[in-house]
Amino acid sequence: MSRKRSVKKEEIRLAPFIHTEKNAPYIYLTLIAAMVPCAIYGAFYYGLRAIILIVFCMVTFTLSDMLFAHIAGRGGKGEYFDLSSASSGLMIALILPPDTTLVTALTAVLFASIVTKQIFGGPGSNLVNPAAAGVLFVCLVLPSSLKGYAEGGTEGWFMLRPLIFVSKTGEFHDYTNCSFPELITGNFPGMIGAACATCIILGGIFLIMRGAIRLYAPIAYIVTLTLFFPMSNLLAKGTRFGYEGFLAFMLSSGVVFVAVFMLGDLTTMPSRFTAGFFAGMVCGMLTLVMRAFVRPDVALLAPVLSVNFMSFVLDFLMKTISRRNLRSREVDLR
Amino acid sequence: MMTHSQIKVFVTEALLLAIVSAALIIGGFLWSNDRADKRLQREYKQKFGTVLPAESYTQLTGRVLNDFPEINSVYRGYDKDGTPIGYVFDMTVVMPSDKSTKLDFRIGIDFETSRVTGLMCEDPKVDRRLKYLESTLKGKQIPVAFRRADTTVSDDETYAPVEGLKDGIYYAQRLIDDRSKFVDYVEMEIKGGKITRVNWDAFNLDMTTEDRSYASLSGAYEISGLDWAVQSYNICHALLKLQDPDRLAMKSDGTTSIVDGVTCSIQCFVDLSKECINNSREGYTKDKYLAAINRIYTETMGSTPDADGVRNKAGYIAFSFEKTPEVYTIYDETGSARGTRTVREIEAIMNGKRISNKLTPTPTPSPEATPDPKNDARNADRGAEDGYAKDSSEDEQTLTDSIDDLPMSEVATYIYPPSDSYVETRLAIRAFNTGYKFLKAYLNWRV
Repeated sequence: MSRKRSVKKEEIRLAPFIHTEKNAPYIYLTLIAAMVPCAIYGAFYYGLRAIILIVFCMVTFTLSDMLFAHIAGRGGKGEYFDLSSASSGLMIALILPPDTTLVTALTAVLFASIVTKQIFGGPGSNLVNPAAAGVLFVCLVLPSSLKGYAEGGTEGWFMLRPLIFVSKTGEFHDYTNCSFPELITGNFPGMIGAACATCIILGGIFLIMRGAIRLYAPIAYIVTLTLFFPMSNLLAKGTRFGYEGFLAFMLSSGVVFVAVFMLGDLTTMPSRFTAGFFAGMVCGMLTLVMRAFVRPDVALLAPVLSVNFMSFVLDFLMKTISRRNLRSREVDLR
Repeated sequence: MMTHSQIKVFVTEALLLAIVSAALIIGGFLWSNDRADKRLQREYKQKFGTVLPAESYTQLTGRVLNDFPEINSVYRGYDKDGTPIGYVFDMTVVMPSDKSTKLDFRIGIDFETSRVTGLMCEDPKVDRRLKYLESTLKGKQIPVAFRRADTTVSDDETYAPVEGLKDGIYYAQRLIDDRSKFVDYVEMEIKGGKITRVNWDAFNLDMTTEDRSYASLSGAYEISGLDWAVQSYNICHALLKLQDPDRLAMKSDGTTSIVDGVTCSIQCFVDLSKECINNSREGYTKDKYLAAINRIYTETMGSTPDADGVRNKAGYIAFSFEKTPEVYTIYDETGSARGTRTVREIEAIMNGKRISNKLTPTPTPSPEATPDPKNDARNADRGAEDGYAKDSSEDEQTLTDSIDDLPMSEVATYIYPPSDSYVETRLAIRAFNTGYKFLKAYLNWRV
């Protein structure tokens, strides 16, 4: 009788899934830790307003996710502590200009949380990177609200006016005049956390050490940008075929941030080597073409979303091709 | 799940990462800051050098900027010794009457004397058109306003003058006011048998209110199209060129299509100009005309204008004869009004002369007197800057003596309104006046 009972109990048990320490909370926690240097950079250069924006985006993203999950009946299971909201909120804040109003940031957060994440099923189910989608949405809908690229430095540490009033800076800077020390240390008017290449690379190293990044797409992306940059120069008005402005573009436009934190993402990028490499190349090509025609932030983020949409198809195709190859080899063996 | 030891390792590594990155950020800042400063100054020089050549610039911040939404940023320029030499304003100026019309300007103001050091519009086409304005205003003190439409013309005009004109200054005014209580007048100077100066304006029955040209420039009197002052200037200029009001090709609705920038009714101007020309032929000068009005008032009202306090600062009698139509109206046998008499004719009747009942153009009601909603100054959407007291009753509403929210008494420089590029010039003037207001608030100037 007792044996019968135990058999019955075993029958209703869930299958023993693969157990790994690199579960979702671990990956998101690693991602947040990797973005901390960028957040420190933002806080140091832009002071209190950057700190408020970072905290605001993280908190509102988490609250929005929790609320929507509750409404959708997905909340309250308590399987694990979800840090994806906080990491997405942090990422949104890091790719915003320092003089961004809280209303603009909230718009980006709500779009990212509800439209790109919760509607598709919540954490891990999103097709595209929520942070990229949220900020791109604001770029397209409220273009003038994302132009507050102020000079960093100690003078504006306690300035809070830009959190309420739309910035009057109103222009994208030309970084070709910046020296290498300025570019590598991020000492120029840029995004809150995506301007300091040193910090981003540090974060990238941390992600690699922790195994929380797939490197195929980021490498392909950087290689494509490097190889095809002269052609992009040819497209842009007033510049010649060549590497003029290449260093400034690579270190100031945010492509390093995109490579490390968006294209290395485990959820929205292809999981297979070939697919990931192809996606990185496509993203790089799109960035180079778009930079000649659209504003810099759109040229940076729109390609990311494009390859996010392609990821599923690419993975499926690569899987099918590899299976066919396997079958044909089996046939040969026979 | 992570074990305790794994968590410890993770936290240690994360902390180490944060410390290393903080050290790198601070070190990097110290390493690159000097270069960043030099680069910034280079950019500023490139951007502002044309409006205020300085050795270095610093951006001004402060809450006072919140009160000036048109100012994007303000910089103070320094010479080699670090002595302040002026201010540079980066502005997006909006036309008060048309919010969609705006231009980006950079203006330079001298530190000590608040004189204009430069003007630049970010739109290259407009910038080229405004070069004349920059050369006019350079070295002049702000604030700036347009001079009233009092025009002269050179002798090389080709249209033949009206025959029989006698030299002198002639004047004609309407005997009744329009619905904004303005009384139109035209003053004309004849030299060598030609019209050499014409001024069309209107004074208000409320003597605290400025003339219509000033009111239109300050935004208090609004009509469709260009400011009334500019339209007045344009039509006066056209008459100087054409030498005869009939050549203005006034249409039946009182407008003309041959003078650029004039969309208002010119009926009143044409009538008064003709009256001036007739007065000139008769040698009926401005002094005689004003004396005649004085007499008409005295005989009609039974007391002198000075005793009644209806004489304004310019010496005109700010009075409407609307309630005594018998003074100027020509009636037919049935008692119906057929037209109006001029001041000269009324005076002649008073002197016992017989005057024929030949019709003269009826001065009232003119299209200004019965305005459409767009042209009615009282219906116009006025902002706070025109001094329009929204909460007061209709009768208490007054038009203030100001431009861009600045009292005219503070205006230091007057320029003539241009016949073309008016909107751009007006916006540039607004930019200077806004800069003046900012400096006044920022530096606590006492005026």
